[in-house]
Amino acid sequence: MDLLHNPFFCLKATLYDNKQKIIELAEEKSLFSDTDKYRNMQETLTHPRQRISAEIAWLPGIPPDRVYDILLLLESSTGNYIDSDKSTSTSSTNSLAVVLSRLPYANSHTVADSILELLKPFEKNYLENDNLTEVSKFLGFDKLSPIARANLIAARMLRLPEYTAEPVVSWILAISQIFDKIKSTEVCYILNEKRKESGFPEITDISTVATEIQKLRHYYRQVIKFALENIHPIKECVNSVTILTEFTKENNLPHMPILIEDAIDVYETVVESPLIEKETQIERQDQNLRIAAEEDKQERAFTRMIGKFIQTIKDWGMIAQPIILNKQRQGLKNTSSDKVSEQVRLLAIFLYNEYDKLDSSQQILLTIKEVFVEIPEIDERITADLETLNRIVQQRESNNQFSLYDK
Amino acid sequence: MENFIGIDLGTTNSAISTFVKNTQQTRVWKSPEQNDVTPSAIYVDRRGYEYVGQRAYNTAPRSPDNCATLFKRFMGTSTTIELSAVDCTLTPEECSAKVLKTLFGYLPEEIRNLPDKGTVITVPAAFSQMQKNATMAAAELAGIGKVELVQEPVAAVMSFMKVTGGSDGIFLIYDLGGGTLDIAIAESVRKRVAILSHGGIQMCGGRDFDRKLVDNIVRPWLHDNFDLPDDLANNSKYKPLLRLATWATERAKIELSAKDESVVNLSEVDIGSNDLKGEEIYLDISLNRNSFDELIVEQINDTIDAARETLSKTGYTPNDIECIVWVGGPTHYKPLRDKVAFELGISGDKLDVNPMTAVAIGASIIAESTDWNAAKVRNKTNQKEILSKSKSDSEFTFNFNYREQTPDDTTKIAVQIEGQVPNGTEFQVDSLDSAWTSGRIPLKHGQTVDVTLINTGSNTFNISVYDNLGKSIKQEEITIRKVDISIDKIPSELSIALEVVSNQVDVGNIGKEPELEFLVKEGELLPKEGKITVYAGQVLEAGSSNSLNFKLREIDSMGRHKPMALLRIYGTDFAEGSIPINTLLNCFYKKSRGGNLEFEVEVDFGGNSKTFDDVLYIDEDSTPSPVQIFEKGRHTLTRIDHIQKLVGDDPKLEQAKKKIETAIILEEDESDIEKIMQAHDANLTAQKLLDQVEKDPENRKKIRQIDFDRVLKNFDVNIRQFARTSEALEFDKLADTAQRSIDNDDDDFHEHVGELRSRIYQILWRQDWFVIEQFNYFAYSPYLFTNQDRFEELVHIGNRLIEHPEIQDILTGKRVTTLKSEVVEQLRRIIGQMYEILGDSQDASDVIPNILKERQKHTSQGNE
Repeated sequence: MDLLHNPFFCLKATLYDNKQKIIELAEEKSLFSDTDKYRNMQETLTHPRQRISAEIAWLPGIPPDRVYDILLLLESSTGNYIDSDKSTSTSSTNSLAVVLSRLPYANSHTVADSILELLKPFEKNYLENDNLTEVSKFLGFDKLSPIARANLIAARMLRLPEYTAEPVVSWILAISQIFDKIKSTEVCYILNEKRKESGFPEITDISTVATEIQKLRHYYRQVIKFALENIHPIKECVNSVTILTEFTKENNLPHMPILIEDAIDVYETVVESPLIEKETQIERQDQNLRIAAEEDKQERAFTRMIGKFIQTIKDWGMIAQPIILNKQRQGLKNTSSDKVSEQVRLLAIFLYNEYDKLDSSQQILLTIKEVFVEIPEIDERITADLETLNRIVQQRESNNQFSLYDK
Repeated sequence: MENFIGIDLGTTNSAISTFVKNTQQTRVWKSPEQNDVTPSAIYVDRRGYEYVGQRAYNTAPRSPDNCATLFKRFMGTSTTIELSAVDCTLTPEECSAKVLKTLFGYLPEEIRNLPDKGTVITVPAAFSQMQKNATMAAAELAGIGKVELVQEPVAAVMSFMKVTGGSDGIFLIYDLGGGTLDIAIAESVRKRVAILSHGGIQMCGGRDFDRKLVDNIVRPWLHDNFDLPDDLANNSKYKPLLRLATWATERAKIELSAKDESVVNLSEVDIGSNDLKGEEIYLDISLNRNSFDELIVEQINDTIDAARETLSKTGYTPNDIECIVWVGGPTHYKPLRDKVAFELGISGDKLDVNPMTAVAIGASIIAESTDWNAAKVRNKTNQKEILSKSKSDSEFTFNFNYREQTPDDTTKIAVQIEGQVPNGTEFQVDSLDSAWTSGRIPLKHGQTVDVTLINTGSNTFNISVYDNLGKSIKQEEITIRKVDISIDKIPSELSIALEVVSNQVDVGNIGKEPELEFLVKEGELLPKEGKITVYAGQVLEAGSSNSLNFKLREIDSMGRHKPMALLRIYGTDFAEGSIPINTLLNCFYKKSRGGNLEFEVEVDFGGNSKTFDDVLYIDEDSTPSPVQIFEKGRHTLTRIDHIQKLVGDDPKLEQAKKKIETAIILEEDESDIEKIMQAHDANLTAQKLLDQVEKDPENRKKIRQIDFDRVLKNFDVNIRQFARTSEALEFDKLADTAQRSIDNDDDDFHEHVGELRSRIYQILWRQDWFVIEQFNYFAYSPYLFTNQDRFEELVHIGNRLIEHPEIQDILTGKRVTTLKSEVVEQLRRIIGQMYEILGDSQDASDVIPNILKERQKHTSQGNE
């Protein structure tokens, strides 16, 4: 749940408000906008069990007045994601001006950015050793619990001024490391502190908090997906994920942080469209090559077509590489790899068997080998094909022509 | 509409009440015998005259074959009620319709004949969609006009709140009726009532107490005092005797509510039956509270567990609960109330409402807050009203928003404006019930006016808008009703999801679980309506017998799934054209406060849209056979033993074991549908307890680790030798991934272990000996298959293949199994077909969903 969609934000409620206050706030809001929406928010915040989801997705540990300072900054920051309730958001400029006027150190737009940039993690151990400025201390950043920090980072990730590989990777690394530091017991303690004051029953079943933290993880996955989707061109996105894949190795960590694993997982859905586009292109070029071979097209033109085909396979491989590696690491199958490699392999066999295009066939098989080197099954199959081809070539040199395989 | 009607349609008793809008008063309408409640019993005499209520109830024991009782327990199933003495068969819906009609007859004609009356009928919270549909069907048969369903405990809460004046607090509603237990946790804040959670037991009620008394006290007494056959319970000659004994026992049980001892008493004349020696039978059995308490202790403990579980869903503890609200006949019994209250640690020794009529009264109160004039019934509570919309030359529109009804003494009227309001524009609110006026107020967006509601019921105000010259440009009267209490939305007790697939359906791709697109999630507030967009997963030509299949599933709080409904759009449903693959399909749904679901699909045929709403609800609750109950129980028992070894002694596991023991003693030829349903329910309860133990965070990791280690050991010891190098490598990596899931306690674990098992299966599937063993296992497990004809046909073909010399050679080790055997290939295909008929018991459940979650990108154009 995004901070700006959290019922606490939408109702302008705090963790210290009791049920009566929450009902009042919700009823007043519902007079001006979507009744059901605010009614549901009221129910969420007044139901002790359901409330946990909103509490965890909020900024526990930050004083209420600071919370709204920070969130108004978020609300007025750049980004196209924001789809918060219009009635609660006054114009960006106004809210920014209001917030900035309350800050002792600043009165310009650049300060808003600099405050948000405090959360921007470029260096290793950035979050542990942040040199917090006076402004950030004023906003209470030095006292942030991991959960609040993670929620702020997630909110910021949805509103980055630009989505390029380096910052996105940094943000993903930041949220991943912080997420691993979120402990149910600590969160439970913080929430119960507030509950004592607001009159809500304390959380006794810690597993409910653990469950909500898992839900939060799924939300962060979506945030990461959003960030990756916005990286253009696709090559940049591939680079980002490659860096993430190598993060564990470079840092000699026994395991990847769980959100980095998730980031690599969601990459598969992020590149689904371009991959399918490439697969369609491979299919089309496959057909064209078969026709060209049948029509006995000029050698130069045919070679050019083969060159383009090989480039498409490589392009596909470039995008798919992080997925292949990730699946391999987890011992999972990647059906697209099987499908693409087999289709291309069959074309290679066809070109040799039917039209004696030995060079093209070898070239294609070598490309498959290069792209799918990480998948032993495919690698074994292609190696065997290449060996057969080589054997045939040798035999052909001394004897007659053979067919690669029985038809 | 001035009168609103509420009906408590109970398993043993029913009641009807009305709520008068102006006076805000309720009234329970008595039966001709001057009772508040009417027994849910029907008697049909030899001349075909029907009697419903007390007379039927009293006649039932003497003429059991002319009577229908307890039919509510079979609502939503295909079980029929046979009145063999008069050669009459009734459905449970028809029986319920007769009771509804009878209750309606108690109302004065002027209410009965109102054209726009609205009735709320209560149903147990645990009622499935099928049971709710059956109740709606009964109402339609009874012809009682517009009807809405509401859960019984919700109605009970409203009744309690009315009596107590809506004081703030959290309350536990303990509604033990004749057949079911319903528990609800309700909270009242500023006279606004919210249901925080509900739960209960479907087969637990006063009727079960009667059975306990009959089985443990009355029957043994009869055997001690008379010469009666051993099979007394199933002996048709003594059926009337047992019916009479049950009837007399129930009366004696009710007497125990008022005194410490009572007598089950029936004279020889009353019974009119002799024993095997010709002696006249009579009943004279002393009952006392102690012996009764001992007999029902197990059931009461079950109800206490259900209450604890329901409470735990809210996050509150017993210390937070103000009191228990007692509803239902059995709660008249004080020792029961004392025990439940003591065990739960909640005060609750007194009856705040009449347990017999609280539900009907509450239903009538809810009927008043229902918008009966909406096209489809919906709740109107707390909807804001738009008074008017006016667009003048200066291009602005204004609305006055307010709550149509509120329990508060003061409420707000808010101004909402779009556009620029000319300076000097004002408005004024005047009370038409008093001299109060707001005075002129500048008309601006966000302005609110507090108005006082002096009357309980209707309060009328006049709102006027004036332009900058003081000229009135708009005037309108509004009515705001002050109510004693208002009920907020009600949380859904189940999740409902539509099955969708991510790829075009491949018939050969058996076993791949469809994804779920949630319509309503458990705990979400009702009523809820919405739309989801999906896409056609296959082409459907006009006139074709193929169909697009929309399957809905119910998922309970333990994550158990069951098919709920099916909507199929056949090619024969439209005259011309086709629905191409990837066609956008709009699914509209609405779940009412009572939990009733409406679902329809809109398809666009080149600019003309057509709606399909022929939903088939799946009767998954139909009673399983005693053999199926036994097998299910045995399976659960094995799992319990396994878990017990892992986690040690856990009282819940012991409890689950006891439950299963009561289920699996069911005789194979048992025909008493109530006993079968009770055994089925015991199995479900045991499964639920087992789930709770398995899901306990402390146990979960331990259980996962040991389950996982078993899979690994199996692979290393038995499978690795058959695996290819790459398969073994992949398996090990996947095992690492699964281990990480255990360490991180994440939900992917089951998926990973499922995948590991699937890898093992794939390796085994290549082995000829395994294929033969798999076939033999299926051939000796007919209970796994419901389509027995097809099963036998496949077993017959398979057995012929098994006798083939090639297979015999494999079995005796004479044949090298790496050589491909065509006969084994055929056997593989037979097993494949057996998989297709494995599992679900209803045809509708077997239908494969072919609705795409997202538009498929692999189309002819390739780039959708």
